[in-house]
Amino acid sequence: MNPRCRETREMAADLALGIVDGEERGRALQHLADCPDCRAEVEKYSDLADELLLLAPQREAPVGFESRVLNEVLPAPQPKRRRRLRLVLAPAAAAVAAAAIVLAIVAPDLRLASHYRHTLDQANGKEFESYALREGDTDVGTVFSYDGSPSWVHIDVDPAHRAGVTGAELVTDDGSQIPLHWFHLDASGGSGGSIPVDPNRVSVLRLSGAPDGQPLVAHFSD
Amino acid sequence: MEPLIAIPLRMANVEKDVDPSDEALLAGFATGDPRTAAAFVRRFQGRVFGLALTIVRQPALAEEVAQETFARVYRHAGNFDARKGRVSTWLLSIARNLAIDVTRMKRLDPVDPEVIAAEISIDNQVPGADEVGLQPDEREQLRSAIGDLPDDQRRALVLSAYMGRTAREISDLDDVPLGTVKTRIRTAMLKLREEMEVFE
Repeated sequence: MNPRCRETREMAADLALGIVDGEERGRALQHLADCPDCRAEVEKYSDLADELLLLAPQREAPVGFESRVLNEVLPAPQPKRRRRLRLVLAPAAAAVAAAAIVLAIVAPDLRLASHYRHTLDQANGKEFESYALREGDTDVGTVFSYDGSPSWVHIDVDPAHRAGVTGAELVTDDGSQIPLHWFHLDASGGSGGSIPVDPNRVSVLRLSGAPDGQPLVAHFSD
Repeated sequence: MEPLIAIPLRMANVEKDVDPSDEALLAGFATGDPRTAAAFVRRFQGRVFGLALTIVRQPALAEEVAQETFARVYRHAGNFDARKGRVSTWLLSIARNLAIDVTRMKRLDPVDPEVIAAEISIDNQVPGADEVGLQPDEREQLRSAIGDLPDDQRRALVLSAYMGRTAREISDLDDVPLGTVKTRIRTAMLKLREEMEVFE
């Protein structure tokens, strides 16, 4: 065995653990590029070093971790088209001959859309939506969501369905469950607070604790 | 380097009963496909967060490390070469290095290597979908072999493998000659390697 091979093999374990620095490391890597035998030797130790990392205990990631990673890493999703705006714009494509009639019909909507945009701009928000809160097929309240900084939801439950409702959670598109610890229905049946997730990523808001055991649910895709 | 795009994308499987491979999920993550990206993060977040917490000991810092790990994986997914290693170990190497950087930058109190040794001696792993490498019983034998190492060898091994300490740093820390530390690390690694070769 030549001296370079001997030197490299002596430090094979150190190389695999990544604890060789500077000139020593540079010399070893240069040698490894040309010596398949030494490379094979270091690779065996590298497999071991990999296995050591896999022994570390798995821990449950904090609530909302997945969403935070995806929000940070992935390109921002295109904002949902607003249904109200779509209704406004569709007539704009109508024939020129009908323009005057269409304009007359949609003018209130145009004013409303403009006001909506102005309100959101004022508060640096992107979207405000409302969804039906249901128990089975019955409407039992309304959930309002606001996409901004911070994003928040406000929940209103009809009087006949407030009793016993004590817990609220969001379920995101990826299945993560985010409990809303601030949730507590006040005397008027309302409760609101900030949420740690983009409302566009929420699929369901669920209230629990009703005496009959059936949750009250709002589907954000409705 | 084998281009990542050569890995067959089976994103449709994400929603089905068949578990897509780690490599397929990584490829989907790299393209920014939200569902595949979510499945990728979900598959590895426990491991990445667990390793980060093992090293930095503070949940908030461990979360930062884990988050940055996934961000780097997203940015550098094209550098992953399936012939050179597994997705899981590539991911954990990034997490380890980031966690070590954080402990140095923030000058965190050094962790007692015996605490880490005790934690890695307990099996709480969930095998991955495409888990290759050691089988669970083999991994158990590796844990047992680490436990059987003399205390000074185990300490040197943990300090280097998990905390990125060089032999010189360990020499200064423990006030023992550099040559002695190198021998401890290399002897420990050789014993464990021999243990692994039994599995092959």
